[in-house]
Amino acid sequence: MELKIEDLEFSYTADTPVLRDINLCITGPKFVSILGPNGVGKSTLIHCINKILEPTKGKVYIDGTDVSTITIKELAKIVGYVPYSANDTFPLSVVDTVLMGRHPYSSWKSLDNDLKIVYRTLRMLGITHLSMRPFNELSAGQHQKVMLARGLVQEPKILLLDEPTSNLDIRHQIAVTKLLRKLSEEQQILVIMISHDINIAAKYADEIIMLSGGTVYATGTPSEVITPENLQAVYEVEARVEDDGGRPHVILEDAVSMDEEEYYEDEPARV
Amino acid sequence: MKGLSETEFVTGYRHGNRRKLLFVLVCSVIAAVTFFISLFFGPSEISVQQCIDALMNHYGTVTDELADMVIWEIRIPEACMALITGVALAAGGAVMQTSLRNPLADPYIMGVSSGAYLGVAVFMAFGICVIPGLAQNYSIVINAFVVSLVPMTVILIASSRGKISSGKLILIGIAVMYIFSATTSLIKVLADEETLAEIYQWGVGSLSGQEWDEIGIALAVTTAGLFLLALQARNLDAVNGGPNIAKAVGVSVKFVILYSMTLVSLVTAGVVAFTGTIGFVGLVAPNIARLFVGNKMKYLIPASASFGAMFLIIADTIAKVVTPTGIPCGVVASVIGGPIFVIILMRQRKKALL
Amino acid sequence: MDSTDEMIGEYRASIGRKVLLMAAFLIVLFVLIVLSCAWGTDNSFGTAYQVIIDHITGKHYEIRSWEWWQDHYIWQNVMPSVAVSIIAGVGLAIGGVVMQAVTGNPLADPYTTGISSGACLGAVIAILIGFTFASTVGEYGIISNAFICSLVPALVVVLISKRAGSSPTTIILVGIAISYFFNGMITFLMVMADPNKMYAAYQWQIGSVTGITWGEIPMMLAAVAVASVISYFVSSKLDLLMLGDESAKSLGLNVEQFRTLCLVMLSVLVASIISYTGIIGFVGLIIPHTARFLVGGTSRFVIPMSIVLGAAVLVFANMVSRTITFYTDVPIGIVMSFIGAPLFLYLIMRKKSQRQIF
Repeated sequence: MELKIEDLEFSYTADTPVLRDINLCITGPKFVSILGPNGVGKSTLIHCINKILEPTKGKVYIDGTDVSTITIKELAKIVGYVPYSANDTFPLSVVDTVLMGRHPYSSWKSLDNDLKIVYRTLRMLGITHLSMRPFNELSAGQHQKVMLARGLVQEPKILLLDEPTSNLDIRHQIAVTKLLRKLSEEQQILVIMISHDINIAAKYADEIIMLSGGTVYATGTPSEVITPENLQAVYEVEARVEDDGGRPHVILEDAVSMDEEEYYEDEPARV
Repeated sequence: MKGLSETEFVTGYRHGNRRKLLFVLVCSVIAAVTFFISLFFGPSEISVQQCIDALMNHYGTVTDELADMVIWEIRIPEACMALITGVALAAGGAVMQTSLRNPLADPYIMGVSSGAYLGVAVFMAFGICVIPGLAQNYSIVINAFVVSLVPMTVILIASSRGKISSGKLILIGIAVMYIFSATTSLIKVLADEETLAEIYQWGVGSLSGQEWDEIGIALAVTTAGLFLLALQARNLDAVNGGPNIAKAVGVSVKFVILYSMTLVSLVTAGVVAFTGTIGFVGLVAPNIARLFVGNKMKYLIPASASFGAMFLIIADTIAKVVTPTGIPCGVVASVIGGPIFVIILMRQRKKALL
Repeated sequence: MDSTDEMIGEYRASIGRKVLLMAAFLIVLFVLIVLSCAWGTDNSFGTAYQVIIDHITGKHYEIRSWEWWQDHYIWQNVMPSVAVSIIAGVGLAIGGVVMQAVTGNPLADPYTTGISSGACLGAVIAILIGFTFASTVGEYGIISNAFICSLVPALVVVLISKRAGSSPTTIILVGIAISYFFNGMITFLMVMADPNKMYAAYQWQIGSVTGITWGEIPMMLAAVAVASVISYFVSSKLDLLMLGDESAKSLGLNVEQFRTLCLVMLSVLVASIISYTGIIGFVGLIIPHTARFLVGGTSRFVIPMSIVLGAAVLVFANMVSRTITFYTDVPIGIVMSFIGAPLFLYLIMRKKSQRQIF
């Protein structure tokens, strides 16, 4: 499959675009990681792909189809999504939570079939023992797996993940990232994940998209993108990049000193 | 952009503070002017000239007994009550919002008024007063005062048991309010129609019919309470930063909440007992004041107080101008305050989106 | 679990248990209905049951015979108020389920968010002033007024709840301020009006099901029935909405459109109930929570369970209200407040189950 983004621009207010001039073409199956500093618009980019947000300008094509021409229900069969955090105000059981991923397929009659798909997914993630447990009683890692399962039962061609490892310890970060890589190979899907750990992304991703200043700064294989020069330009840190079995590994040296007005200047308030 | 020099930094800060004081000053002046304007309006038919004469001659030779009585026994007390009520409710609202860290907290809505209302209903329907044997006037006031303190006491007892978030405290207050208003409704059902009408009348909230000694009491309670609250201004700022930050700078959140909530409920109870239910002042005034002076309590308390006084005296004047006999001040305050309240809410939504 | 079949089996069994539980509560509801017909009279449970069955099977009695009086009493005096209790209970419970999904707030219901007060003001305006938006007086005038006035708070609350970071507490505070505003208006109108009208208008504010005749029921029944059916059919969408806007959209739900639909439905529902009974609080708050506790969180089961429970709780409250009589019945709204307010307190104070850490 092919995800193509043309001249994408997005802004919340009229004058200051969050994203601009985004041009990307990703052909999968592949495991892609999006990197970039705080507030650069990583989540916004993902939201523009699955129409949670409408781009101000530009188009997104999936396999040649303009996504603005199809309904979000149709889109939900092609693009799966795992949000940054799960809402558990009204907790359901794990099965019911995952079953919700079958909604785009209008699951009223085909409950048995849907349950089979849910079971296979839970099995693959190794969490069938949790099926009847309430969602809010799970641990953070289990939460993440359940959300992942929900994205997967959408049977998408493209799976988008918004920092799926953000609440996890290092062991689970690696486990989830490895799992995503395995999924992209076994299920033949394009997995796009926002990541905040450069080294984990470098170790497992097939392709890295690095954002800076609201636009794409660099794309390519980890070795192409993760270079001291790019890190200096995008994150304003000084780092060495060493070779770790064919993949780059970043060792931080120093941060470029911050001028007053730059301090968290582009950090949006997370409410 | 270049950084600031030390002098620029200090003068800039001081300049900002001057603007804040200006807001207080402007509100106070408007309130004072409206105070005098309001004296010319009212149910009794007295000409402007008579009003001025009555004002001038009160301490000299009184020529017009009727005008003198109307001005000095009806209109001035009413206007004074408007100012005191406005100050008490608005400052109380500001303190409560900061200490509970929620811009929508309001002592009035959360329980004080429902308590007072219940106290009044109990007396009017059954003639039961917490201190038996008082004159009717005082029984109502005492009942309103004492019962209005109950919801806050419940909140405080709840807060002293273990760790309870401020959101939960607010909701507990609301639950108590629900129970109280259910009880009031029950009393209203049991009361005969005449009593029902009386209870209702009180529920609407009115500033008129105040005696001078009642104003004295309200004034004394408000002044003392606000003075004691002002002492906590810095600590309230710390609480506003969040429980952990407060602890880090050496402020006991529990104590500040306990102290300020007790005083706020005393102050509001001291006013509500005389006026009945007048809503939205404690909610709207601090939020508008905040737009101008920010969240620092040193400025927010006086700014809210002056704005609240201005708000209520204007509401009262409008009530008298529009219908000389009819609309009680509480209704006008709601009619003006309700929409402002919604606008404030919507504004906050926009801000959060940015 | 080791196989697909095993999991499907278990899932099916859990559905079976839920259906069974609903059936059980349906029986409880039926018993309550019969009991409330026998309540407060010399009739035993059996007699009341007999009278009800006889009436349904179309038995005729000699006019003014003992049996005729019994039949008349139960079917003309008691049954209308029981029927209204059922309809209002169902409607308000559904309203609560929808409201909680739309706002994502577990404490939202038409009462706590001020929608009921808005509807009530509309009704009171129609009754006291005779002004209606529909330019017709009577039943439809009152309902249309109530509907229009209930849209205002509904809109405000939903707009605010969409705001990021607005906690349940904030929304309840907004709701109280809104109902404070509307109640102020209602009170004012009443004080202005003459005492005769005032007492009638006061009845609206506290919620009462007495004195309602069969003729007033169809309109309300229709609205509640339609709303119940609609909300059952959109139950999977309600589930999606509860996940939050982002997830709901990513799973193919047109959030804005659906929320608007819910809002209009909610307002019609609340208006058509409030216009006949007045404000009855807390049903929409406590019933969905109880239903969730009993049958889990999926709306597909929460909705039918809420329907049964909502009806049962108001039939029960109606029974209590006819029992506690001083020199007038205590209106059902007050009884419901005394049941609901402590449960509200419980909902606040209960601990969320602790998440286990790795």
